[in-house]
Amino acid sequence: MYVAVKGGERAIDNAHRWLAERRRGDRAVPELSVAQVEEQLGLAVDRVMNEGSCFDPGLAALALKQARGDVVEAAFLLRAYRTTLPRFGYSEPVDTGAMLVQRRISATYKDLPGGQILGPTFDYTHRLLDFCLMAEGEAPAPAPEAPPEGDGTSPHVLSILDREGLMQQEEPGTAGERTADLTREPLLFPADRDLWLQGLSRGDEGFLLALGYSTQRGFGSTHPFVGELRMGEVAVEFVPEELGFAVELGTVPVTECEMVNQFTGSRSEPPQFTRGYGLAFGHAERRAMSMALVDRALREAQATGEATAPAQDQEFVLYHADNVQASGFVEHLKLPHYVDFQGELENIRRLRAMTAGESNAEAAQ
Amino acid sequence: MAALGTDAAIAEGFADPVTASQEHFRHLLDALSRPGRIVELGAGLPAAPAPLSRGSYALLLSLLDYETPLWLAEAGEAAASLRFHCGCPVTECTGDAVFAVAPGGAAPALEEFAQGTPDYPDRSTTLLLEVEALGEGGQELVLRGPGIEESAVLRVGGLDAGLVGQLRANHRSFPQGVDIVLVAGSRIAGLPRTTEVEIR
Amino acid sequence: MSAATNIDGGGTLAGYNFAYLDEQTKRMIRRALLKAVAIPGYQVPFASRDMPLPYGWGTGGIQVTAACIGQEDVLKVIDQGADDTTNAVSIRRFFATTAGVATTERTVEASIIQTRHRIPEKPLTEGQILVYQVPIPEPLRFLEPRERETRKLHALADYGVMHVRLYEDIARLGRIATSYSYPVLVNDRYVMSPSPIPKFDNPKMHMNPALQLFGAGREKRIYAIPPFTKVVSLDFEDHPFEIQKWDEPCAICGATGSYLDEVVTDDAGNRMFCCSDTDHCAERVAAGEGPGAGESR
Repeated sequence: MYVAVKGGERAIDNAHRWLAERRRGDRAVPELSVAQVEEQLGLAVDRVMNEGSCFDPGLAALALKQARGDVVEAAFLLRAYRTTLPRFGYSEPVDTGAMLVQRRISATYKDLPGGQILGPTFDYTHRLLDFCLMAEGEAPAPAPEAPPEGDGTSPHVLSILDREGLMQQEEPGTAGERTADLTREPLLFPADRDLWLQGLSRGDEGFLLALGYSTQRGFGSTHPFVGELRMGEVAVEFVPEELGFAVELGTVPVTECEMVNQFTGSRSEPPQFTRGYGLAFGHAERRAMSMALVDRALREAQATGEATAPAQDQEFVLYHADNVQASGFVEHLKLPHYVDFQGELENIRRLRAMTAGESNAEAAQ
Repeated sequence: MAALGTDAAIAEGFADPVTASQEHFRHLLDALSRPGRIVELGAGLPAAPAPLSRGSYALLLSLLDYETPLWLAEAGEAAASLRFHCGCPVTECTGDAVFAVAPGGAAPALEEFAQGTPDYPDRSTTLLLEVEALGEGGQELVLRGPGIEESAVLRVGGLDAGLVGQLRANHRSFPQGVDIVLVAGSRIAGLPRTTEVEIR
Repeated sequence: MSAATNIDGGGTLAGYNFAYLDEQTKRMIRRALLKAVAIPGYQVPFASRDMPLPYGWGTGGIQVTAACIGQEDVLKVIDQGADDTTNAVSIRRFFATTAGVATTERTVEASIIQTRHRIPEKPLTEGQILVYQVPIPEPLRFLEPRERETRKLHALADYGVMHVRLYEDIARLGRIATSYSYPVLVNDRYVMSPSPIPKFDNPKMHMNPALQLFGAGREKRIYAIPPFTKVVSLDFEDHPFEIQKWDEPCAICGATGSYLDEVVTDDAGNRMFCCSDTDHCAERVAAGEGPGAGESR
């Protein structure tokens, strides 16, 4: 009789078995390997690593497979795994200027030292479904390779403006200062730039995109140019306490975006350009660009002390960017709430009875 | 345990840190939740480095790590041992201390410790006061406040009389203020900032 | 990852620490809990971790329980007052697996009770800890969405906005229309959200002999009510606080003093009312109480 939402252990077990069956799909179709996901759905893997805050393409691919391709669920799996890992310390800042560049474009200069490199991009593809892929055709012929110019590294485009004194100077960090880490500290406000960049770097790509887009449409005044967008491998270095000098742990692919924005200057500062910054694991241009737009919007608000648009509002941006938190809380509405609902029922019935009582009394007069 | 290249001897830590830390935390939670109640941390506490009591040493081993600057009235061997086991910074400045230990007869003024801020009153020092006795001794304190149904009586030996006045000031500055744990050997009693203290 | 699915001889999950959390995380939560007890009703920020259960599904309560629980503890988990609701089952199982602790469905046997949306009907006792799962810890959040502002209001004990909101209900509807998450004043200082328990349960918080701990994982806050602490539901002299009442007793055990669930029994809109606290109801039935037995409570 009284079984509506009372599941119990058996229901849970059976539901999970059904889920596993669904994940596998039709057994006549060969099982997808984690290596296939990692190699052939690489951009999904990159997104899971970013939102899962953990660089491990193999585990991200596993998470995607286990989550049946649900990227947010996969990021959640990776995060829950990540929290259990011991922490050895913090790496040195990566030097993206020394990046082995696979793609590098600037919208602010026609040509520049190191050249414009299109790299493996969807840009300029015509979005026509390729039915050859459906037919599982031959592997494509390898793309031609050009020998690297010079030492293969390219200087940052914004350093050109920097030399001319036209870029706003970034405040250098003080030696020994710990970078904020919202995975180890509670999120408190006002947040500084290190904290919000971390928050954005693991934020939901769709949310970042929408916020970045909103700044272009007038919700927050940015007039951005892509100073530079680059993607490639950077070295990660770590200083073990017992050695006292940096050792290279390996390289990771990252996408970096530096947006240039106008700034008209003030009484205390000369007219100059300001920077919006985005950095993401893997090949994630939409994410890095959106992040740079939102970063710029947050800096504007910090400088002026005024947040007039959603993208400028620290609390709005940082509290709502985290899709693991957001989806958990939205989906918790599926949990039983019948106790509270009973309270609401009692309440509304009583209010209606009061109103009815009043109108009866009026009618009687 | 060997001294690891320092002159100070390192006292032993917990044999089973997971269980010991959990048990001592629960005892401390109980003591701070029920001011006036004397809580026994139990037998088998590791021998404490000077000048700490076994009780203080066990509580500090349970709760300190690299995030919790510790202030000690007298460093003794304790500083090196706690640094070794917990990785905690040992600070000279009472105002920076998350945890502090002082003798109940000669502690710095309570207001010298971190009081928290109006926005974040939790950012205040937890002070372990080493006393001679709990449940007996010269001072009889009458306590009122959260955790106490009506009033509780706590006898303490070796608590500076001037400190009782400071405890009252500490209570008046609520929600800011320090939280105090009286420690006698392996026995503890909590005096959080919510507790109103009178001498009988 | 096979380690994560095996249970080792110690009764805990191989590859993971006792009660899942690492010791550093437990210490951080324990320190926050100690400050929470010292400042009743004040929300202590803590560095909540990503947990293997979703945010909004009890991650705050789970972290508090994990930081408190020991091998000797007996754990009870309820959701909507019931031990057999799916999320309660899932969380109880999480601790049975990761900590190997004894679990119970009986309120009297439990040393730690983790709850969502209810306080058990049976009065709690001194040795017990009640851990609440909290979705939105800030009682002022729906009046002021910004944390920087609400923190200031708490610092100044400026709770005018809350009284205005409650009074607007009275002006508009003739009574305060909040039926759950009904705000309370703790120890005459902090206005606190009791979590979404029905206001029926609010009076149980006042001078309760048990320790009440609150964990909000997503919002990264911990707060507490020590035992025997004054907890007052906000109200007005001419509109005193009142709790829900039902016109009929529990259809199963006949209780008249317990919170009732409304169960729709057919398509014609017929319904019955029965205790939301399943242990309380079962205990009364076992003691021979029933709808016909006549008595209340």
